[in-house]
Amino acid sequence: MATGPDVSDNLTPRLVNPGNGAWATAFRRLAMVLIAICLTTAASYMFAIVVQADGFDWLDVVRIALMAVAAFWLAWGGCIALFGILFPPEDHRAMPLRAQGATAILLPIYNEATGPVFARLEAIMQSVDRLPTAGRFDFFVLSDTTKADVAEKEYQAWQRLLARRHAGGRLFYRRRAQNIGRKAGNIADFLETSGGAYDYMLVLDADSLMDGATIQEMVRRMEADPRLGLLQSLPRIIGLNTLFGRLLQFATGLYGPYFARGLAAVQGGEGSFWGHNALIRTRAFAASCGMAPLTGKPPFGGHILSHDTVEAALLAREGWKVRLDPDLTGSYEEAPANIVDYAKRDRRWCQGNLQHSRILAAPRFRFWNRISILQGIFAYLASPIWLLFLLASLAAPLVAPPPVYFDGHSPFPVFPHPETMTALALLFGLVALLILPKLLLVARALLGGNASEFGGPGRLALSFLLEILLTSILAPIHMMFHCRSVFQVLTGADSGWPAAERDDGSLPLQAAFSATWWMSIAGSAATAFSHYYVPELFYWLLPITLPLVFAPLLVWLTASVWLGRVTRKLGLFAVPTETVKVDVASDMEVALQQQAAA
Amino acid sequence: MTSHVSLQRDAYPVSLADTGFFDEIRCDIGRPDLSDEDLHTLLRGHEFTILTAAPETRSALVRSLPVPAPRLGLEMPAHDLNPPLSVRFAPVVAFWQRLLQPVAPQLKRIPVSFKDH
Repeated sequence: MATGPDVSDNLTPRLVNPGNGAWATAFRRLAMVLIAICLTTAASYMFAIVVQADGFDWLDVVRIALMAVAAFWLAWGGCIALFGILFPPEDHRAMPLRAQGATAILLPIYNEATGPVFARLEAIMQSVDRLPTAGRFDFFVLSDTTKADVAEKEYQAWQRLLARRHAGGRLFYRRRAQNIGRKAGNIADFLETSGGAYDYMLVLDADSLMDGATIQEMVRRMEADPRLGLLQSLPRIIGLNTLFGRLLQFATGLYGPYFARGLAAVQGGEGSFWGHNALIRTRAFAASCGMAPLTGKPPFGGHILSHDTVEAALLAREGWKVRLDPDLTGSYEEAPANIVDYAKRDRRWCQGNLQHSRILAAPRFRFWNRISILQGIFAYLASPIWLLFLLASLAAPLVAPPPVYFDGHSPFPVFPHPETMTALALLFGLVALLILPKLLLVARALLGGNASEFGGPGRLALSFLLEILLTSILAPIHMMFHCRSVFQVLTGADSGWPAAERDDGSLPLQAAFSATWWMSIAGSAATAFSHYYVPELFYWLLPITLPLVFAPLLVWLTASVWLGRVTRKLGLFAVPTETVKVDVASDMEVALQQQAAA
Repeated sequence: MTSHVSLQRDAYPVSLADTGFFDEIRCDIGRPDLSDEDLHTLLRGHEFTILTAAPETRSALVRSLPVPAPRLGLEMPAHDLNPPLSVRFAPVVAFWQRLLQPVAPQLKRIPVSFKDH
C-alpha cells in the first residue's frame, strides 16, 4: 500500500488574503464581461438597423433578441481564446522535491472493452513504476459493469495484470453490486471504503492515459499549495484514425491549449473539473462533494448526472482552490471517432448540463461557479437558439409589412433604404469573431517556430483551411443533433441510436443514414421553402441546408478510416502526439499486442 | 515454547503468525494494516509454495496474490443542493425572530377571559 505523511489533516483551508492573483482574475473577468457586452451591443444594434429596412414588426424584435443572445455566446468564446493568447499561464511548477503524499489512481469502468482498458492501465503502471516515488501510488479498478461476461473478462484481466506486474498490495479490483449514483457514486464508494488511506486520488476515465512524470508533478503542485483541492490537467486527444477523429485531434491539439489558458485566466481558483485526468485531495472531496439526489424524476430530478462541474463548485464553496493547469502535458484521452458517437456522448452531457438548472441557486456557491454552470447549460441551448433564429429569419419576409412609399409627411415617395453595408459589416464581424482567434493561433504557431509539430508551415496552413471548411460544413449537423438532444431532455423522449460498434470508429452507411435521415428531410424542406417563398435568402441558407440534405453521406465519409489515412499520409491534421513519440501510448500498444498474442 | 512451522498444505497455519512470517509479509508489501485473518485468507492454498520458496522469489509470489484493499473509509455527507425555501430562509427567519425578541412580550395576545371589562 502507498504510505506517506498525512498532509491534509486540516479540512478547512485558511482563508488568507487573496493577494494579487485574485485581483488579476477579477480584473480579467470584468474585462471579459465588458468586451462581450460591447460586442453584443454592437452586433444587436447593427442587426436592428438591417431588419428595420423593410419595416419593423414583432418578429424583428424576436430576431434581434435571438441575435443578441447568440452573439453574446460567440463573443464570450472569442474572449476566452483571446485571453488565452494574451495572458501567459501562471508558473505553478513545483520545487523538484519528492512527492510525499499517498495517491490512489482510480479507473472507474462500466461495460468497457476490457483489452484496451487494461492495456492503458498497464501502460500507466509501467510509467509510474519508473518513478523513484512509485511506492506512493496504488491503482484501483472500480467496476460498475452490469454484464456478467464483461465482468468475468475484467476479473481475469486484473488477475493476469496482478501476476505480470507483481502488483499485489498496489493493484485492486472492486465490482459494485449496485450501480448507485453512476460514476459519482462509484467514486464515493471508494472514498467510503478505502479513501482514508490516501491523501490524494487521481481520477481517470476508461479511455484516459497519463504518464508517471505528469502524475508526480501534479502531486508536487498539490503539496506545494495547501489550499489546492483539485488540480485539472488538459487532456490531449490521441489515437483516432477516422477523418472526423483526426479533425477533432487537430483542432483540440492546436486551439485547445490556448482556450484552456483563457479559461484558467478567468477562472482562477474557481476552475473547471472535467471528471477525469485530475488530482483531488481525498479528505476535502469527501467532506465537500457528497451530493443528495434532487427531488423529482429524471431528467431534472434524481442523481446528478454531470457531477464534475458541481463537485468543483462544492469544493470552491468550502474554500478549496480548483485549478486548471494547461501546462501539464502527459495527459491524454480518446474521444468519439465519428459524429454519431460524438452526438451520443453529447446527449448524455446535454441531460446532465440541463439538469444543472435545478442547482443554479444552490446555497453558498461562488458567483463564478454559477457562471460556469450557466455556461454549461448554454453550451446546449445555443443550438436551439440558432435554429429559432434561422426559422424566424425564414418567416420574417413573409410577415414583413408592405413598404409604405407615401408616409403622409411629404408628397414625394420614400423608398426603403437598403442597409447592405451594415449587413455585410455584421456578417464579416461575426465571421471574424469565429475565425480570428483560430487565425491568430495559427499565426502564432507559424511565427513561434512550432509549426513542425503540426506537419510544417505549409501543411499547417492547409490543415487550418481544411479545418475551417469541414467544421463549417459539419456545424449544421451538430446543431441539429444538439437541438434533438435538448428536445428529448425537455420532453423525456429518447429515440435511441443505431448500433454501429466498430472498433476502428468507422460507420456503415446504413448506420449513418439511420442517425441522420431526418436531417435530410429537414434540409430538403428548408431548401424548397426558401426557394419558393423566400428566394432572397435562398443562397444565404445554402451553407446550412445543403449539409443537412447530405448529412448521411457527410457523416459516413467523415467516419472513414481510409480518408483518415489519406490525410495522415499527406501530413494533414498532424498533431504533436504524432510527430513526437508518446512513451505511454507506445507502452499501451505493446500491452495490447501482448494481450493479442497471449 | 518451541515455535513450530507446519509445512503441510492442509494444516491451519496458526503458527505462521507466531513465527513472524506474517509480519515479514506485511513489511514486504507495505501493508501493516493487514490482519492475521486477511493474510490467512490471502495465503490459503498457497502456504506451502510460499513458505518453501526462496526468499528472493517469495516476495514476487506474494505480490502476485490479490491483496485486499486498505479498509479505511471517509465519511461523505450528502449535501442538499436544492433545499426547500423553508430551509433556505431559515437563517432569515431566525434573524427576524431574534430582532423581535425585545418587543415580543408586548406583542403577546392576552386571552379574552383575562381582559378587564
